[in-house]
Amino acid sequence: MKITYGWQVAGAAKICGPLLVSRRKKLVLQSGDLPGLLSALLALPGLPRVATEDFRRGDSVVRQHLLAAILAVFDADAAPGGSTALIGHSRSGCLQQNRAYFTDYFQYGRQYGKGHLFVGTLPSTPVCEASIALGFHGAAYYLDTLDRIGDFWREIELLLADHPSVLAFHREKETLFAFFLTPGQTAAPEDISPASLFDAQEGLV
Amino acid sequence: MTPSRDPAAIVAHDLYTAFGAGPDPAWQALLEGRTGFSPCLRFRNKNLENLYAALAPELEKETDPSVFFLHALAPSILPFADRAELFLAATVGEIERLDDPRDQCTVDALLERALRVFRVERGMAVSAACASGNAAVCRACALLAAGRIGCAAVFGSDYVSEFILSGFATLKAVSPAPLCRPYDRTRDGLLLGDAAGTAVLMPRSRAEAEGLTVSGLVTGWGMSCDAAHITAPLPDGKALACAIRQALDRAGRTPDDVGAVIGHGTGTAYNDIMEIRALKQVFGDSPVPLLSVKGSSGHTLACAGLVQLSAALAMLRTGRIPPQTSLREPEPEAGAMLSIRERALEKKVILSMNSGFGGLNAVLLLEAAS
Repeated sequence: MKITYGWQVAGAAKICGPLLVSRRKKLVLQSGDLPGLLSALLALPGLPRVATEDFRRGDSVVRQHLLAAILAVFDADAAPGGSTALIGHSRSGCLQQNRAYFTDYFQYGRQYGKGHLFVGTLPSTPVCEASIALGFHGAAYYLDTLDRIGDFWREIELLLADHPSVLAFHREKETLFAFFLTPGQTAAPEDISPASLFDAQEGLV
Repeated sequence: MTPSRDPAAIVAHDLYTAFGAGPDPAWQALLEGRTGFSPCLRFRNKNLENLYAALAPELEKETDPSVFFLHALAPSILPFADRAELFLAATVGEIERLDDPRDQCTVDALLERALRVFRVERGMAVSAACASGNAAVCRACALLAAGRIGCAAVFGSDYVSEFILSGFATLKAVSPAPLCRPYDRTRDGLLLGDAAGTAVLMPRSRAEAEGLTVSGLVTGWGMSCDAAHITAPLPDGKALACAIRQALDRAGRTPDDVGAVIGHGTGTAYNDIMEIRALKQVFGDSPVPLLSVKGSSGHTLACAGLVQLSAALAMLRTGRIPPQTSLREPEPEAGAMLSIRERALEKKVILSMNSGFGGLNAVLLLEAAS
């Protein structure tokens, strides 16, 4: 059943492995690794200035969030800064990062953990890194709805009551979607998947 | 923002801290300026034994502290299980299961477990680092105000694990002393604590229709992000000030209406000064009474917002502002905000603030029900 959500997709990006693509501008970037993708992204003509000096500090999940976030904002012709809200959504939390921190800690005789690995164990860290890169000061948090994707889309609607735009991430296995959403109307199936929303043409959800 | 005519009413709440089960032991400790800290012998790790934490004795023999807390606090949620949606405030999930490859030690696994124990059908986990407690209440209130749900059960818990303690120690955020001194000029870090808390909320009109006792109202909330640094807060407190203003605006309140502020007050150099500067931006030269509960029960991470909520409800009920635990030399910038003596709560409106890694801020405005 289709319902009308109180948002519209102004821009979006998807990253899977070494492939980063945008929804509206149909940009396709490919590289052997994530730093290579960053270089390709920063070389795009007209890309606004973003803070990527700390790109190397995060793990691959953080780096994927940064790349997809920057491209989604560019895809929407939006500017960094302001009170855009950020929300991360998945079911995988931070298991991989928890294991990385604790394994390292035990390998070093339970004496010293590594600070950057510890910070990475918070599921909210990727959205925070994206907020730093883009200077977005709105609400930011990670949400797990146990696969009820409609609750995620509705959460964005609520955020738009208090913020001019929302940068929303959805991670599913190896693929990460970033949507830059603004107030508007979108008629879509209540449980539309991020992949379907990304692939749908504008106005034809 | 238009103030809601039907604010979120708190119809049940519970707490479990190092001082024991229920909100009262923690409240009494606050009033008496008592601390709950003891040496951290829990892990049989000599590298951590010289550190202190507020440890719940009942957890010492528990192999599954998350499950212990869920069952301990279930009685406050079970009466609402048929109509509540669960909001789980979470940081890193069930880390005690890290060694078990069959179990996914994620926020996701903790949420599923919580739904089973509380017999609640639907729910979501909200994770905003150490601001998770307040953030979960903020999102619950947003859904209630929008009429999307009729009842919200918020649960948050965290306990002092080797994983967490070693991580904070690595970041040099833990005090080497047996005391944590929030807002003190000589503060040298946080001390962690075990805790779990709940709050059940519903629109005031519905609570009244059901004949429920309302212990307080959440009339305003606000969230923001510093967008500055992954661990340190924005020194000028601008983003936190923005979240405070959102909470006041939403409630239709001005700074003059606020009787006290329960700060995040971790006892770390950067957090505490940032909060004081944020408050000065909002309150100007009027020194609003400021208090941190972490000098008593420690930093309880995902539960911090719920420990503060419990203290706020006790303050609203009794009209008392507890003394600041372990305060020796007030941070000079705080001026008259702090006191080692109990004060009277002159106005029954309380701000409660949480801030977390990544610059996440979440603020609640709580008021007396009458």
